[in-house]
Amino acid sequence: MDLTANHFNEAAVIALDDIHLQIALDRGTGTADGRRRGVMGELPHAPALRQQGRAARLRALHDLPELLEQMERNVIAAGGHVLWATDAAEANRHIVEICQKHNLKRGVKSKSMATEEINLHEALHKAGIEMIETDLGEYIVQIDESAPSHIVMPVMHMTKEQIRTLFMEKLAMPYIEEASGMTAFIREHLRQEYLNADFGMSGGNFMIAETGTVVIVTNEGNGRLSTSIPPVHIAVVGIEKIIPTWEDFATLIQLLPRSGTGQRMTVYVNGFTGPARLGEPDGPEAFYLVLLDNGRSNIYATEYAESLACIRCGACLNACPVYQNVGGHSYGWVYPGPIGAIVTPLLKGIENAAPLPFASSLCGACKTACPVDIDIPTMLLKLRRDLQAVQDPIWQVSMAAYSFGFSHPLLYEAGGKAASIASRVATAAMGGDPNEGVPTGDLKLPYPLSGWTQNRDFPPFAESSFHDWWRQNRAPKDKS
Amino acid sequence: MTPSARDTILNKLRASAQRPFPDAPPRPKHYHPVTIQEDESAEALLERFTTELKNLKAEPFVVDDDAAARVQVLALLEEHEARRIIAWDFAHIPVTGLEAAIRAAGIEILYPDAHDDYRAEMLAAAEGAQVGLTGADAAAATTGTLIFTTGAGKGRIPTVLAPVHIAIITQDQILTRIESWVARLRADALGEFRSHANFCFVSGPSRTGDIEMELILGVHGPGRVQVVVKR
Repeated sequence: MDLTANHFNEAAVIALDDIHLQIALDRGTGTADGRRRGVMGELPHAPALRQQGRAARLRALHDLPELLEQMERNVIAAGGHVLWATDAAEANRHIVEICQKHNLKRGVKSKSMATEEINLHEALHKAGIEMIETDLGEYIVQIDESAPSHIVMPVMHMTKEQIRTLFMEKLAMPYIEEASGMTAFIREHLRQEYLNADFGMSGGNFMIAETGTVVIVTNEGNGRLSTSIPPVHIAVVGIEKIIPTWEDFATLIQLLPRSGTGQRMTVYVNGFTGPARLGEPDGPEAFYLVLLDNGRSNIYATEYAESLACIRCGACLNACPVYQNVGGHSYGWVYPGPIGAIVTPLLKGIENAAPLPFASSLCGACKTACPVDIDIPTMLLKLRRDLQAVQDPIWQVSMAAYSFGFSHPLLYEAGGKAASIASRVATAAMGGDPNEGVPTGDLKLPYPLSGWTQNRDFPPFAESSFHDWWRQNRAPKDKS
Repeated sequence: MTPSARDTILNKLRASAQRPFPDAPPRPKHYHPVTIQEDESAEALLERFTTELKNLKAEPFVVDDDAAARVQVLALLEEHEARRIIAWDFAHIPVTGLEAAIRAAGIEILYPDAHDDYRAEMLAAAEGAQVGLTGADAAAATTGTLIFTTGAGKGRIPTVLAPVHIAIITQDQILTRIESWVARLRADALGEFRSHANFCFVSGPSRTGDIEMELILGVHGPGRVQVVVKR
């Protein structure tokens, strides 16, 4: 997906005027957020569970390199292959090479944000490999040649009428009134794809290091079909998705659907520990795990490490008053909403996503909704600070001077004296009493300080500094 | 020689002077379970399990013995006008005489093997089945979840390919919650778990809300999930 995050403001204005989008967003975010509140609210110990989930994620991040090595060992021990990818190009290269090695021409794919992130479709298309999205929403996006607008509900932005028109145009579907009939049409349409596919692709919601298990969740069953029937399964998973233990998994796998779609469980929670074992009647004969970095290790040791704790449930999108109005496409990349406003600048460069840290009212609804209590508002503020440093050279120079002055006591004192003298001279020049300042409106400082003095007094700096006063009155006089 | 991607990534993660979250809380001795179920008696768990299944729009059927289970399953197969079913090996389905009873009703039983030399023909035949029939490894009452692991005679396809999935379990397979199953894995240090390529939690029929959040069942997986519980 192309990066257009710098056009957030323009895209948002267009989105706000799109009545179909506004109806779709109200319904989508309203329903999802309401359901989340319902199933989280029914648990009196929900706050403790959030902290339990959060602790699991933070422990995992602390031990990230060791857990990745443990995951690799266990996948290999189970007969699978592990490939590491520093960036999108390397991940795509790995996948194309696997396809060439096994002569794979047709794939079926379960929904995955990581494969959106690396633009896998384009890479496979160039290599002459066909791949079909099987999640209903992602399939709609694919035939529409557009992009998903939500992490868990890809076509939240579309109305039933728009989807029906698309099916009729692209798939020669007869007019079908009901969504159930349209869905049944797609079920039939995709049926043979599962049976004929050479390989299945998936992402991964979690990697459980202690057994080397990759877990995906789907409601439709497309993930289970895509990974059960084809002879090869390739999973692409971001390195941060790892957790150490099954107990941590048991907590997180229930927080994810409760927060994401307001379900108590996702219908299919499907886990893979290597390829099919001897005697098992189905499942892939070859299993590949591609561990994707793609900028995550750059975030790891920074003050933004907490963003790696995200389990991609989408709750912050649904809860965000900005997302609720501008929709996912405005954010201009794969990850929209509050978490996207952090992840996109971090992964793609803050100068390429400058409006995103400001695409928030800092109301904190995202943090409240987050199942692992990620402090999104604080990180947005820090990104605003970073952005200022990147974008505004004058600010940068003056902040450098400020910090130099304030960290050198002699310079600081000299500066204080100079300010005191200068303010007196200026006040006297304006005809005021140097000890009283100038009455409001009399002293007009030059631009850009004129705005300050327009309605305010400008008292001169004190004659003697606090340092001087301290030396005279409080400093120990033990030399006598 | 350029370093491998593996070394590049791991070295970068280890390069920083301080790891993130050194003060992350240690692994708790006792985790809070997510769901609440105070009465863990067999009857209470059966009650909760069937209630949750109904909430998920799955259909529970509680029977007293093997004979009643056979009658129930045959009635369901008749309802679905099943001519062909895809199934687990009946050694893993806890009802005696069921295989013979189904054959006696004139219904073809297919044990789909995707690793077969005649894979394409096998899959095409499996796709023509009206019902998938399986047992289960366990069930979790509080979420209405069926738990499957794979093994010889226990494939994935019968749980997901046909429009209807009938799973047969015994009442003593009903655990309280997901965490109870994890505790069972932990009891043998995850040893037995490692012998399966796949596990799957199935909670109700296949569903989607992608079109205007409208709930639709059976989009790719089974639209009906019927669970026969034998006391």
